[in-house]
Amino acid sequence: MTLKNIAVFFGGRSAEHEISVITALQLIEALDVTKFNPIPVYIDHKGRWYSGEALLKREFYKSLPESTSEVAEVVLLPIPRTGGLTILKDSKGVFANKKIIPVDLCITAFHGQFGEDGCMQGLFELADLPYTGCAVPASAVSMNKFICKSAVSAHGIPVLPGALVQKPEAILDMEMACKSVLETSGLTKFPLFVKPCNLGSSIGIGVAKDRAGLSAALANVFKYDVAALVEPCITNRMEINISVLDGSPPKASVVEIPVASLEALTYEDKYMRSGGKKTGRSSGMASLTRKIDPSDLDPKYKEAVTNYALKSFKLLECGGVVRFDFMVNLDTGDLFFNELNTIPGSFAFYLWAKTKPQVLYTEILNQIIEQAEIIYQRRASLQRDTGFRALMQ
Amino acid sequence: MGEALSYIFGECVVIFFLYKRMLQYLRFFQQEEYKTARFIDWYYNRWAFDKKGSTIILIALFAYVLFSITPWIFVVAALLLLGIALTEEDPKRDGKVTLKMTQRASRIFEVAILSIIILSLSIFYFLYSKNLISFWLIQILLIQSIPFWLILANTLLSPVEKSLQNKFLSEAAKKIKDVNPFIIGITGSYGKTSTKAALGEILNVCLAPTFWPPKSFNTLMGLTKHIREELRYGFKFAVVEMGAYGKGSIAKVCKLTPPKAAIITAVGIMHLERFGSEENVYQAKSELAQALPEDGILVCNGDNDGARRISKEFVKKTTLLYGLDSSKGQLDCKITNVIPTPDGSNFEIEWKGKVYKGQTKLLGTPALSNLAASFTMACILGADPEFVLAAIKNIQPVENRLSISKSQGIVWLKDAYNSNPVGFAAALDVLKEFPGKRKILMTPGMIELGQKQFDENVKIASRAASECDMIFVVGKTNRASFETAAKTVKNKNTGIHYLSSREQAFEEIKKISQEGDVILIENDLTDLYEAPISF
Repeated sequence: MTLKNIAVFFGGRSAEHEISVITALQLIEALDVTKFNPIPVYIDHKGRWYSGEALLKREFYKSLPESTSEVAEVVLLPIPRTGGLTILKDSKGVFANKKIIPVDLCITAFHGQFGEDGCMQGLFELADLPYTGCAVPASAVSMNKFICKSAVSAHGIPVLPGALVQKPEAILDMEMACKSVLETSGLTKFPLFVKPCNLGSSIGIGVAKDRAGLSAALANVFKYDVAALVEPCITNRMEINISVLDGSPPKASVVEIPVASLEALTYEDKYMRSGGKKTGRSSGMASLTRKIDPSDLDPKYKEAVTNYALKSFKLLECGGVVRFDFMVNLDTGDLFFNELNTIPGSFAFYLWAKTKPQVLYTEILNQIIEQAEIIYQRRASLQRDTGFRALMQ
Repeated sequence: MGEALSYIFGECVVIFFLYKRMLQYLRFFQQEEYKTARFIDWYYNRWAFDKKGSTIILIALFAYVLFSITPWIFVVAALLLLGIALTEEDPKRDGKVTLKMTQRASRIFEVAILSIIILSLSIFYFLYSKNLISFWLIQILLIQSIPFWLILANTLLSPVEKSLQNKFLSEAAKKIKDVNPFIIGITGSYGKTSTKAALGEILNVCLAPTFWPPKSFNTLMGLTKHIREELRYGFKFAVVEMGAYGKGSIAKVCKLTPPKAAIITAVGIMHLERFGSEENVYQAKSELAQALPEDGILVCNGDNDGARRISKEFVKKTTLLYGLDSSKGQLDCKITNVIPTPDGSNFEIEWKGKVYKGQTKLLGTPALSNLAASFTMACILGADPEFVLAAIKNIQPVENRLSISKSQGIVWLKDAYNSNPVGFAAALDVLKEFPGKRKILMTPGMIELGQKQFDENVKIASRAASECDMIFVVGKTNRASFETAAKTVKNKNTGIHYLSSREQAFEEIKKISQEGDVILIENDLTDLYEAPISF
């Protein structure tokens, strides 16, 4: 049996660049080598693409940018059936003077902007290549926290009240912008939680304790994003995360409770901490201190979270393996949908390892690759050229 | 055997020694901006000729000649030289101002080291097994000649440098023309780097994409480099710090980046030695105001006489004054009610008939004055004052610019750059008001104040002696000022300690410091003046 060429895309122009590298390297190690031939494709901070064996070693990333000489610079043209990645520059001949690196299917291992938000997915659509995970609409919707909330809330899933502040409004009149936030129902009292509307990581988040704090938190968000989302700050809170894996039908994993710092997870908690220790190499989300499948969690939350997750997965037309984050206000006992990660850190494999029946990382990858092919075939059977003929007749 | 080795091994070691030592000198040549006269001044003032290497060789020569000791003595000498070369500090890593291997530094180094190695090898070739004494005598000369080779290489390369600089300049000028950002120039004797960083950040978040070179790059070539590498289409504003290095230097920068708006933070007595007179400093700073078009925006520090004078002499369509103290006249933007807090300062700002409340993580009146400058400029360019204040609240203190760090109950206030009479006094204000038990000051005093150096240092030292519990004076440069001050101030308890280096002072402070201490590090001296280098 010939091996399928699976291009694994990672890195990218995102704040979560490095965590994406970790996710990708973990993933490639778990990929079934009896079926697949992994081709790592790394996108650097500036947006240039590279491919080559050297990308599989962590040392490569420590000696950037010099190490890029050990790999070939490549690109995926937005043209159907080019056969794979086009080699732009291969000075060391790592691909033996080939012009194209054949690719049968793409895995997206990005986190955050320009990778998880539909941009890359759009390119794969244009290039007519099958790819894992969510398609363009679900990717784009989940990246915009305000639109995502509005969408699930329209289907009866509880969300926290929220106000959207766009940068142009604040530029014109910050006082007005703050005033309209504070007039939104559910947001009349401090503290308020302010976060970038379109960023996946915890960068730019802040807690406003008063009016001056609100405008400062908004100004801070506008360093990173063009829109800010303001929500009530639930200080006494518990987060519950759950993963959903595509299939017929899609399945939900066990839940987890991340051990968060007092006021939401900061970037450092999410990615730098390695089970409480600061030293050693980071394993990203897989190493965060967490309680998986906690036996002391009220079953009503487990049940509600599972139902909401499966419902949202369907209505947002998700694919692949995703993670839904919920939140419980411990003072009132209310549960809220918080956000959807269409490409969760470490592909949430640590949740599936504890789920019954257990799904190992390799099996998760097999399933999402299989789903990607099914979706691709389903779309390939669509008649796409209807209506083109009017002009040519 | 011994003789052959004392030639061959000696030659190898000396070449290695030359290589290492040349890097050391290059670091200081770079700090003196590759100016021959300044480098030679430094060399004489510091007695920076080689002592260690030459002494070893001389001893070996004496022993060899006077006591007819075996030629092996030179192998021993070479081993000692090797030891010195291996244990000397790494100029690229150690010291307060490290050597930066820029392309220019590399070019100078390559030419100088190649020349000296060729010469050394030729000497080896002609003298090998002919005259051991001359051979080693010449090694001393070679070692002593290292600074000369750097100067020579720089002189030889100057046409190359010139043409490269011109090429870079015209590239940068073209880019400025193509991108066409609204340029805001900032100059002043102090405060320009902080003002640039604050204004850049404010405009970028409150108005439109803004270009501002990082750190304190303010020379023409430093600016050129950043424009070529970082300026992109889409930048609507550019905030450019313009350092005055003598008459005409700001005018030159203004030619490259013609400003439409300008901020004058202060005209002071800093770098008086370089300018000769206070009037010359004034003339140099006013070049920025002169470069503004008639319909330009001029924003000046109303608390500073020189800056106020510029605002009167070069009136533009929009001329505004900012400050904290209206005793010198009217202010368009005024900061009042400054209250220091453990996290920074709270303040009020008056602008266009309205009073706004503000908060900042920064400390000290100079920092607030810089914020007033940025606020005035941003608002007059159309930013919403509320938004600007929100952005100001987010501005992080710059490390070593009166920044606070706390460890084990001890507060360190680090103010390591460009200490000047105003900045020093403001830092002392903060030290005085900062909650804590003992107030400790570590400083080498102020430099580059020309004839006023002694008096200004006595003035500040007297104040420090009456307010601080302990003072650690670093180096010899201003020691006399502190000694004079110590005699006049009748504060019974202030302990003044004199230490030869920054490292020693830190060690002493570590020994005596205890919980509740507030320690101010006020120090602007580069390695040139302070670190005990010995070659």
